[in-house]
Amino acid sequence: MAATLDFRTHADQSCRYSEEFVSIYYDCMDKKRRNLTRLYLDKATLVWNGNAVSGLDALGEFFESLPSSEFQVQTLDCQPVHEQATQGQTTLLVVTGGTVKFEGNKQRFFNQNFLLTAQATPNNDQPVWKIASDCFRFQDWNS
Amino acid sequence: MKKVERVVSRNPGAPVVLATLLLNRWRFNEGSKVLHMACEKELWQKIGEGFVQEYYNQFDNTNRLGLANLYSADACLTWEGSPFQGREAIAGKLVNLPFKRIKHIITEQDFQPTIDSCILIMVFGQLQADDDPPMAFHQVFMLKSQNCAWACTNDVFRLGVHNIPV
Repeated sequence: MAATLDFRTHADQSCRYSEEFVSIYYDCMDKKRRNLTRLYLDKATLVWNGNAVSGLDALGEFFESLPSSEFQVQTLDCQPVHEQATQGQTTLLVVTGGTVKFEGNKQRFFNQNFLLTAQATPNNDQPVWKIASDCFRFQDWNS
Repeated sequence: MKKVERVVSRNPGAPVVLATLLLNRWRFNEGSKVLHMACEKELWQKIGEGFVQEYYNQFDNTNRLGLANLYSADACLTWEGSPFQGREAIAGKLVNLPFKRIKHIITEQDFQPTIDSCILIMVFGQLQADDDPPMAFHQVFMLKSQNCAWACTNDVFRLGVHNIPV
């Protein structure tokens, strides 16, 4: 019972973190694209419609190359990832879905998943979340 | 790929065991990744593809009870926004889904090795349940090597219906 409660508390907290993170991420993507790579770990990888991009420089270059965007998130799912395999680090799996309009393109549906890891911050109780893995695809359904 | 299939078919009751062999090879290969990459698909990709194939094969062609074997004991499933934790709860959800027949078609799948040697899988496809119209879905799996076998620890499923404007 205690374990169940702990898990629920853990899951609820994860959801709050992920909601906050998702709102920051897409706000950055749409309005402050230059800052977007700050949300990624140095060794992060992104798979964008099947193409892999890794490392902060490559990510920065890639995001700069995308037209300006308007994202609308319609679904958000989040799960804590078991800590045993992440070497004691707190990790969250965040899955989003919604619509995006890139300038000069028609509106499309997308799905994206993030693996977030908590970075310790000495002066702050709240962890800082960084993206370790990111996977994005357009969902070409009804289009 | 062939290797994954072969091991799976030999152990239909416990397909997660398939990975002992592959895990050893993976460790062995880590040092020579670049060379390996040039020759064939990465091992994490093969393990991921093997898992996806086995998962939807069991989903479509069995009573789904055996799917429980693909999950770790404390796995999490989020099914259309509803959470299920633990192998039993997940099996209960999957076995009791309200349709007689289902068919999945996978259109895209992405695999990523994570920093801590897990495998993150994103699957896109369409499914048809009984005589309903086909629907888009996407599903994310996290695979982790536990006790020398790969098991799914996280699973998030969503239908594409949320994306259809009203």
